[in-house]
Amino acid sequence: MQFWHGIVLAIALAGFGMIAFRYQKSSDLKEIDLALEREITVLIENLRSDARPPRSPLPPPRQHRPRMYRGYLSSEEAKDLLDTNGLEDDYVILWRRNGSELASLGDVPDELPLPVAATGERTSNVQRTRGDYREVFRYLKQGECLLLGKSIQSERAQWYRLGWQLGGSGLGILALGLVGGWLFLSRAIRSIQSISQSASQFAGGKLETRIPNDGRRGELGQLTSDLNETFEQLEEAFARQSRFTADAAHELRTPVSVILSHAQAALVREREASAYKEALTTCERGAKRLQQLIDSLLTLSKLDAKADEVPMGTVDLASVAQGSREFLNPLLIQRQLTLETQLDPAPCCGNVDQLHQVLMNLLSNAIHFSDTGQVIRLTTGADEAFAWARIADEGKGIAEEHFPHLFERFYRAESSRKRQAGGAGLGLAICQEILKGHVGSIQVESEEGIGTTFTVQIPVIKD
Amino acid sequence: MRILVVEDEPDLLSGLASILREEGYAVDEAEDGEIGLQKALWTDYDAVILDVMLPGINGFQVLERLRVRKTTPVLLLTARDQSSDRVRGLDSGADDYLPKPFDLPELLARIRALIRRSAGQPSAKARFGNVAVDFNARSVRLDGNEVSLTGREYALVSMLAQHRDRVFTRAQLYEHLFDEMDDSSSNLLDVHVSNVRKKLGKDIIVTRRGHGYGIRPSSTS
Repeated sequence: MQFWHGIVLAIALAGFGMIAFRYQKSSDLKEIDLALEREITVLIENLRSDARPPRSPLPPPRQHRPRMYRGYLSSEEAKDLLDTNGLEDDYVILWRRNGSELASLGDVPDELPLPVAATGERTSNVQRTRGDYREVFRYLKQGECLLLGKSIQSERAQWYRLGWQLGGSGLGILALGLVGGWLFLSRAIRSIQSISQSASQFAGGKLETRIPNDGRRGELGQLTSDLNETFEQLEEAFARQSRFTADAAHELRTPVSVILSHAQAALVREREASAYKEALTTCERGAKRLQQLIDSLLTLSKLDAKADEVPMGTVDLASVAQGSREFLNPLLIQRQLTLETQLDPAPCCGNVDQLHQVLMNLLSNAIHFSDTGQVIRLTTGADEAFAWARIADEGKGIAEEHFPHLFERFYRAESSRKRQAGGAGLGLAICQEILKGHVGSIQVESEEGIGTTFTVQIPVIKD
Repeated sequence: MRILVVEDEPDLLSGLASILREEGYAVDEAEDGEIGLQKALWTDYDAVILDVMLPGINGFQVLERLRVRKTTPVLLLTARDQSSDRVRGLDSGADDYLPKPFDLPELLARIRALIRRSAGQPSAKARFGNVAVDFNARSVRLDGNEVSLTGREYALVSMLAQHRDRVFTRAQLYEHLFDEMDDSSSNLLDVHVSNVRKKLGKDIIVTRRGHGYGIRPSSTS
């Protein structure tokens, strides 16, 4: 990448330099040519008119025939005619028809042979560059040749300088471009390298890895903060997951301990049939708790994974509540509790089985935390926006400090955890997950000594 | 030998208590940390089995507060089997640590070892003249022949045998041999002492008047 970057830059610079150089050179030459052209025209006119400078303001008489053409122009006279001082550093040579030099003026360089002109150039001005000189020559009518030259040494030196200047500054720009490009690229690459290094560290299990943000701005800064945010969320999710696993293992261990210790105790020695029966009953209780726990864990993991799309349909919370009530009736009678209901239609979009489980969980909680003779109220209804179900008990309530944690998995508000009364602390977490899937919500109000009210809200379906 | 079990899971608590009683220990039960701590402070237990995850104050806190005043041997029992938990448990003063679910024979062996160690009797066997006690097999032999003792009688012998240089008052012995639910009179202790003497020889238990009972020094025969 660096290499191609350099080549392209070099070509562009060289092209630009060449064009600038050529332009300067040709414009200088054009200027010189113009001056030579003008001067030679004056000289030829002088020779033709035989006029001597300063030229007479009057035009020469028509019949006048120049002396040169008449063949008796002396060298001195010719010099006089040609001495115009029109140009600096110039020189003039006039050759006779036979090729011998008639007159010369100025710094005539050595080795200046009679120029040979192509046939077409016989009567026109011909320009040429000869070494350090720019010359223009012309054959006159009778075969004489007039050459006007000018040293362009200083111009050549200037061009030479210009060439060096252009080349030097081109190289400078190229070097600057390369270094700048390298700095820019390496900065960008360093950033990307540090990002990729952090990412692979993270992937390797160091979840606390973050990409150091060394004051990066723009796209890379945005990428960095986006990635760091993602890392943050992933780390949290992993932490949540491993906490959940640890809690689940803890909850599973207790019933396993019960089963194991009772079974082992029973097997230590021969016992009465009643002792075996007692041990088996305890083991069964432990196994049932395990089963319940595993069911809850599976429900939660299904809700988490959203593995199977739950079929949704129109559900009336009132009829779901009616079903839950019938299901729990025997337990209510056993605990000597009264369930008051007022079930107004509450149509919403949802899954009957899941909503049934929500109400069952909430009602079971209410039953477990109520004392004998107390009343539980179950009401349903709908307002403008939501279909709702409300379960209120007269139990001892929940202390405020538990509110933020109530829906956390494995959290138990009850300080004395009576196994028979409370589950593993997953019921409310399951309710919340289910309601999330229903775009609904669950709220709790509670006052110690007065009771607890759970309210479930799901967007209503209007007819 | 009297043991306190602090465990909030009722099935586990009752199971542990009954198997320990079967093993001849006097067992007290506590369902939460507060009660457990109170009992452990009031009574000189030979060992405490303490669950970590308890409602109210947890096992670590119970242990820290207990250690301010008592050196009772404590075995921590917990479902959290993480190295950091074990370290914390042992650092807060636990003498042993067992993760749930545990193997019952292992738990019993650990309790026995714990009690022996704290009594300064690291070996599982002890000999007092012609009487040999095997703490693991819970057996007592007289001149090589096994003598059948009741649970209380064995508890009395092993209590005295494990603290061989100590003299126990009647009240102390009573406290170690009977649990809190037992309201039998302290006369019963004398009955047990005399039964043991009948079975193992009159001088196996020596009476120090005004002090209490001790086991016969091993050198005296």
